[in-house]
Amino acid sequence: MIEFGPLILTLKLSLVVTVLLLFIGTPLAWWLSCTRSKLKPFIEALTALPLVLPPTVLGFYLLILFNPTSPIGSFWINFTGESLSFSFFGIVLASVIYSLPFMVQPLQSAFENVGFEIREAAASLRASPLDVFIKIVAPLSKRGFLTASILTFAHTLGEFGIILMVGGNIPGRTKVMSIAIYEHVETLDYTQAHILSGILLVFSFCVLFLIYTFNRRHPLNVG
Amino acid sequence: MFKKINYLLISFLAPLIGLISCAPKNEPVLKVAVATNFLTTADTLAEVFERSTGIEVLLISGSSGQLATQVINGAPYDIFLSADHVNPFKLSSLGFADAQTQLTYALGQLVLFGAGDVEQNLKSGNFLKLALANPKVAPYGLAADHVINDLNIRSNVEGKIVFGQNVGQAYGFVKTGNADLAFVALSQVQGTKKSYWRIPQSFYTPIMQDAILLRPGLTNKVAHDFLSFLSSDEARKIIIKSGYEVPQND
Repeated sequence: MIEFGPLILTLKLSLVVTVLLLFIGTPLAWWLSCTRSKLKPFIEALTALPLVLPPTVLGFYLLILFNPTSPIGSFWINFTGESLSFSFFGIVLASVIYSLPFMVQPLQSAFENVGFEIREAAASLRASPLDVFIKIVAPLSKRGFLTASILTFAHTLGEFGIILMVGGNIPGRTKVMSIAIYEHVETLDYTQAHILSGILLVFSFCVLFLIYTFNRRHPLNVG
Repeated sequence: MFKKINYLLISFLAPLIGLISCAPKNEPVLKVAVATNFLTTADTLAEVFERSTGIEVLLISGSSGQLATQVINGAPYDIFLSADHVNPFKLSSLGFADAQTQLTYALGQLVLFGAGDVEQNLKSGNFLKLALANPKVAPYGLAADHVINDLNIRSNVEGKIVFGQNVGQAYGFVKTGNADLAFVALSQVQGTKKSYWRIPQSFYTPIMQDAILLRPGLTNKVAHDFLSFLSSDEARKIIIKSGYEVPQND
């Protein structure tokens, strides 16, 4: 009765995007939290863009970027033999862009919360910047990592507009939960729409509930 | 300081209040929900209707499924111009429309759109991606699916099909270079530089685009007028010119 295809695909997408963004977002957030460069507001604005832009704008640009005659699209097709649009990796890439602020912003504020003095003290004891990060900042930012990861995961879970525009609705590859729900509503198949929506609703609530419970048990105690 | 903020606030709010109070005062007399693929044609039709009757027509566009959902949930439309005949039927069987008034205002014409000899490319499998509208929600997609069966090329297209939510998106996939071929409506490709192959009618069941009078329109005389205008010679000419066929008058 329940379609497991879209459910599994959505979980896979969210997981892959969260892991990728941990690798991309951590250095970016670390740099943003330390830098005094004039570029900082520029990069911060760029990172926050997916928060304010409608998914249609991102979807439209990605459709143009992904096409097999564009530099990125043709590189990808030569490299993998598969077009970037309508592929699983295509929607991964789209989601990485879309969810970037949900990873970077909580991490950045977590790193900034650790406090400049501690970092300075460690540096004066000849800890290398990498040491400072791994031994001091990262452990103190555990909560930030958790919040950022869960928010990224949950946000990707609910992604719809961009995937609708660049995904091509292919079962098993790009037909995620939100798209499947949209299709069921369109065809007036409310039973299936209810089942999938219900799963998404309960799951999303549980995820957020877990974050807030965890946050209460582990209050910020750095500084 | 506070004064400054007050002035600032007022200078922001004043134009906003102005904008709100300038909202249109006259409610349009006729609200027509129209499937997106027919929107530009409906625009022309509405213009002609307005000119001859002086009655304002408001067009609300969306996919046939979306519009039907809106009607079921209380949208106050008078007439529904669907892209299929199933959605109007659903609405009348649920009591939201008058089954007696359902009529076919246009017959959709399916084309294969792309670059080069599209017919040959489709049959020989010489393409990377073939776009169609989702057969589950879009009548043109369903027709395209039948064509693929009738041409016996299912194995050629396996793994290469991508779905748009409607013919507009399928068309866009080719336009942006993401797909090589797309099954779309004749009405979309008129005046295009790319080539297209008009699929012979024998390959698919006619795409009947049906209109129906919705419950709020039943007591609206203008709505009845608009429906009969749809099958007038003048309207039929416009519909044919836009890339559709019309059913024979009985």
